[in-house]
Amino acid sequence: MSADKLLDEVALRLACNEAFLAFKSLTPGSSNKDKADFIKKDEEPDGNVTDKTVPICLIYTRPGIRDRRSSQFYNSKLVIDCFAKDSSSARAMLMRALDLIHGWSPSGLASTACALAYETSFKTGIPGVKGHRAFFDCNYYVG
Amino acid sequence: MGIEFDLSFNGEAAFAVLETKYEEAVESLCDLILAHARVNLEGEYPEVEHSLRPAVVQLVNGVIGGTVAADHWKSYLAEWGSGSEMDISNDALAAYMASPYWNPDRVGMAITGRAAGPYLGLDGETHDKHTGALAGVNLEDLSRNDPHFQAWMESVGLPEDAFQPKRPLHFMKSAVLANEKLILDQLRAVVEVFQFGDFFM
Repeated sequence: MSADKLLDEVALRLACNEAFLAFKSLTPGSSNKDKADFIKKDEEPDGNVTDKTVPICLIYTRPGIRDRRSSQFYNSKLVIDCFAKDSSSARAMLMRALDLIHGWSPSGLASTACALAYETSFKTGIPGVKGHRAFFDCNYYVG
Repeated sequence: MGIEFDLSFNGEAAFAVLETKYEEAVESLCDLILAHARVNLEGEYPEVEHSLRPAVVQLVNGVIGGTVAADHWKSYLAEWGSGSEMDISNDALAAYMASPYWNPDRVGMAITGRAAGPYLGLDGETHDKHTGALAGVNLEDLSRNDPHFQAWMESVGLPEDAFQPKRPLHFMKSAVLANEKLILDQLRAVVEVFQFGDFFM
């Protein structure tokens, strides 16, 4: 029932998916360290994203708000950033993540399904790295 | 006299309270946008962050209006970028290029040297410290590649990235578009949860 739990669930879902892991030439059988280096629960590109570490995916949360209908529910904002050497790979990676996350309900969170709020490409400011990003609304019980 | 049944609805009180609820909703949603806008600046523009004013919610002529604004001049750079990295899909770009702020010697988008003479900067100040020797020269390339120019920049105390293009952060657009659905949903919720029943007597 927290941002931590949500990010864990999202990272797990992405890390168990063959097609998503294939972007980094990984498989579900690859080491946890390799998967953790590919799917990072961190918003900071500095130190994580360079032209050597791409393709890489950062997942994090942005400010949310208590729900007006029921204050025991929290409307959180999940963000997935996909970085790659070229924009079509970054976009393909993000589309794969979108297919996995949109309409999916994280377990153990008493939540409604994640819904895509906005997706866009963005300038990374890192030479040789292109970025594509999606925001998801995820509403879960906080008590 | 006699037996009667009364049923009344205090519309004035009901709608006055509903308006208050909408004001609260508008304020908390504007605060949400503010929080997003701030974090979207990624710490790259402290002056703009500092200028992000708390949401102003006003009831004017019966209309509830909320505003989130960053009024530092660098907010243009933070939103749209600068130089060769500038986002040219900006509707206001043509107006900027036709204004006194635009360098007439600038061909294309790259940051370019100005001709001699005073000019009005985006910061609202008149600048006249330059000689004009670099009029029409692409300063982005020069400051990136020319060691003599870099040495000169250091000697006059200019930071390394003084003439480097800045990427657009779209801090406000991103904050708004990422929250559009949520805002509409939460505003709808105001009337959904409103207890009109409290005003029947």
